[in-house]
Amino acid sequence: MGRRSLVFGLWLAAMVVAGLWLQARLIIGSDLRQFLPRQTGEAAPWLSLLTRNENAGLILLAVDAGEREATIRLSRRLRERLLASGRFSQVRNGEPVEDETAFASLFEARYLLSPDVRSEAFTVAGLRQALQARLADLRAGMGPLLQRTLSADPHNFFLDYLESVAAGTRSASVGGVWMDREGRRALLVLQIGGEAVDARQQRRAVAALREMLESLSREQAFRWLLSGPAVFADTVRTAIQHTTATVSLVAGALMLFLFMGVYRRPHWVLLMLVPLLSAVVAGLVATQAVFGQVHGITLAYGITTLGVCVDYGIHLFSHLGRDEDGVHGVRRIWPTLRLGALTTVAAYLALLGTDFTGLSQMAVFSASGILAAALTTRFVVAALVRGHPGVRGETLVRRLLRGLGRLPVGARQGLVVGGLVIATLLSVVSDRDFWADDIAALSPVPPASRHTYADLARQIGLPDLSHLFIWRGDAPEQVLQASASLDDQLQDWIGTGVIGGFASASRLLPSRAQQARRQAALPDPALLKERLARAQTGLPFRAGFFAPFVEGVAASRTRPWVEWADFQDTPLAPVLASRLYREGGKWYAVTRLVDVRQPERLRQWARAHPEAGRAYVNLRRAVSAHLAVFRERALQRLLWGGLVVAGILWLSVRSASRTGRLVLPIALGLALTVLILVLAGVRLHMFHLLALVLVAGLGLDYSLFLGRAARAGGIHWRDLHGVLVGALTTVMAFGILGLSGIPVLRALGMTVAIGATACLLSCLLFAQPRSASARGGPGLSH
Amino acid sequence: MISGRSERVGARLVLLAILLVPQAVLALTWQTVVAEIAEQATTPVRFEETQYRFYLDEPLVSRGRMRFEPPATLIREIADPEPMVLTIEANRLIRQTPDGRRREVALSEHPLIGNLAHLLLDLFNGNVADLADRFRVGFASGPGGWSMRLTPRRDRVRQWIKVIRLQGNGGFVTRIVIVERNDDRTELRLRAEGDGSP
Repeated sequence: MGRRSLVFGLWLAAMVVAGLWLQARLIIGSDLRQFLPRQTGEAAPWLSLLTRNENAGLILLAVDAGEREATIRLSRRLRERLLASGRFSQVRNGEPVEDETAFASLFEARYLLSPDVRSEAFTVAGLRQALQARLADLRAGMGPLLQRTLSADPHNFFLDYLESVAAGTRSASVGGVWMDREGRRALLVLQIGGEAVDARQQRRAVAALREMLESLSREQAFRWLLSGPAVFADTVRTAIQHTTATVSLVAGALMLFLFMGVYRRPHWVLLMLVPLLSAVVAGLVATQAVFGQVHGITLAYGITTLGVCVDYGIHLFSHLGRDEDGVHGVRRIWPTLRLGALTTVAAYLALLGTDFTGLSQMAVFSASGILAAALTTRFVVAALVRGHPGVRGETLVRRLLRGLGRLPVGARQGLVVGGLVIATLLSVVSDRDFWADDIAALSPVPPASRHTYADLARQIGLPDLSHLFIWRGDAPEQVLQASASLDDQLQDWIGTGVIGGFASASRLLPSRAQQARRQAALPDPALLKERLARAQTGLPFRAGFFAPFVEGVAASRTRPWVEWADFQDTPLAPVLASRLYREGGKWYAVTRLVDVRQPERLRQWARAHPEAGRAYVNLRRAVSAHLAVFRERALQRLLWGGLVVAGILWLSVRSASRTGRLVLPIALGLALTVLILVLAGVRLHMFHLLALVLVAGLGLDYSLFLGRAARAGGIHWRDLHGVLVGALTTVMAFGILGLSGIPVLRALGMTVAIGATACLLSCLLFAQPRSASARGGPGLSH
Repeated sequence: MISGRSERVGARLVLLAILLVPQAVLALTWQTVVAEIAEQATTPVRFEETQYRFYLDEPLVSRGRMRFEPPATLIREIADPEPMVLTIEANRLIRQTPDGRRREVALSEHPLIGNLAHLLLDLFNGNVADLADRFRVGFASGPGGWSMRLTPRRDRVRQWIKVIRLQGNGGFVTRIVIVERNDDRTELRLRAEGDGSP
């Protein structure tokens, strides 16, 4: 067996072993909490809300059949067919919903649930008032509504309770179905499955829905619009798959042409897969071993960033002379390549130990991947390369070098001045707050789709998440009591027009303390019977008709407390789950405010009542503030990472001025990248920062290969050749990614493409071109 | 035995009778009646409503005025015995009393009220297709006016309403009777404003 076969066999065996280990152990996580700060100590309780993903199964559907009547009929038909399909737990279009029997168990508990249960309601005057109110209801046409409950609940406690707690929808209705504000499109709200909706359920339900709509549209022409989290998830998944396929195909084809043109060996593109595959496998193994799982985002983002590992192979190919053996050629570049890999790893490791587990995962994934790619290039790719016919482009690169050599001596000073100008411009621009701390900036959903969803949701009257109160505690009773303590204040705010309404946990499930007070207000059955008889005098109700009422009150005096579990088989279970839930061993109660008209009053109140006010959250602001804190911390860590990188470089070159010449072009390249992005109107966020770490790694690579020549009297054309080809492939691949419709991928692609170009230019201008002796050839020694 | 001549005379009489019947009566269908109702829908009417309920010892009567504002607002002003205004609009039933109290009910949550409201809105909008979609319609007409019998098609309406009977003349509805599943009954008598008849 030859050496090449042996090396390749060993590498393949290592890959197979790692692959088998991963097959047995690998867990791909999807828990978004890993990309949110850990909820420890006094961390904000609202973070729990962001991780619940409770709207994952929500779909909004708008249909337009042209004629209004046809649209209304279509809405009804759709509702029937969608319900019959069994894929949706709820399909609402404004048509009556009836399932009163499902409320039976809660009806039994009406005297503990209703906030209106007080002792005055059971006096003769209170009872008579209730009976007269019911007669007025009958005259108002509500007889059928009361019919089932009147004899057992003459106060109407239960229906009032249901009315106050049900998640209301306020869309305009025409012909009994919800229509948009123009009265043109019918609106439907669909819910997939139960509480926990996974990606597969989303995909299947959305596919089935699209199929049904297409099938119906063949029978009757109509237009439709789908929106909502489940649709976004499906669309984004498809778009990411499409983008990935496009990038892979186009970048692969371009690289094939490039390799054919430059290295005359198109099949060497396949050799590029060796370090890339090794990097991904090593990243997976290390992350799985350290964290016990690999998050999907880590995997997707990590693989993208590891794409730069192809540069290592490119450096090798560019440095090979005609018919030179790879094992021999790689020795010339290995010290530089090793230093580049180590410094990039150091930059990534700066992200270790942040509050965000996801970022630590990315650091481990990328760092181990880069190390593996460098080692594989050194020991595997180099062993497999032989019979190089000689690279093309030497003349072009030499011409470029000569051009650089002719730059006047003052050019560097000009660069320094340029750097200062850039820094000044940056500081001016920074006053304009170029950081995007709005969480929407991190969303993979295009802004236009988000606006459409927000508009439809507003028209249907879905709750707004922006303003809320949230309490955390060890037991449901603790948080329910805290929630209950605010209900009266919220009621006052409705009266004074501060808010339009609220949906609290304690209104749905009262605390035991509230239930106990209500139970104590219920009279003895004999006394109630006597008072009822007096209250009925002169009213047309038949004697004995209210016997179920007396029995119900008697039963409620001794019944057990209503608990969270009592709601589980009722239609109110999902409503309660969104207001009272357990997360990470803690209980949370949430009160959502509806139609907040005077947010300043809320803030004033929170400031005046620091204890109770701590529960108030303006979610959008809170998330923004949190992201700003994260960004500050990340910047600090990256600064420290930069210092560590500089330290490693100093240890390697043992010269402060040389270290400075290596680091300064990267710093300028990064500053230029940020400046270009900001001037282009881009607001920077977390993913731009991560992309800048990648740019710093690329810059280090360029700086080291171009800067190492300083010792030898100037840049060797082969160094520049490798750097140029590497930069070209990077700009091509990430440039295509920068055209993606997915904002996060676009941010990554744009930043890396611009950053690679900026760092290349800056490194070229800072490096020392070899003027007289720039005529290296095959076997040239460095 | 009837002679051939008698047969011919009989046939001519039938033909004559057919020719003498006004064309309008021949063409009268429930659809044309609904269309006529829609034409006069915005004319305010006075009403007297009588409810017969199994748990009441005596019927419950209320009187007032009702008007329709296209396309989907129905206003019922009860004057006697207890003043209140009921407005059906945009899937809501809004109840207002003279002391300023206001209460809203979402019709989508209440099938019977919702369906009755939609029935009236469909009638006043001349929405024949929607009515046919929701009800089986029986129709009869004669010199004294027309009558319509609406039987719900959908189970969820049928579990509340047995039948709705309407009577009228031309485009004017004079009486609506709603018979519920338990035989409770609501009778609505309507007359044009200024019409002194009971």
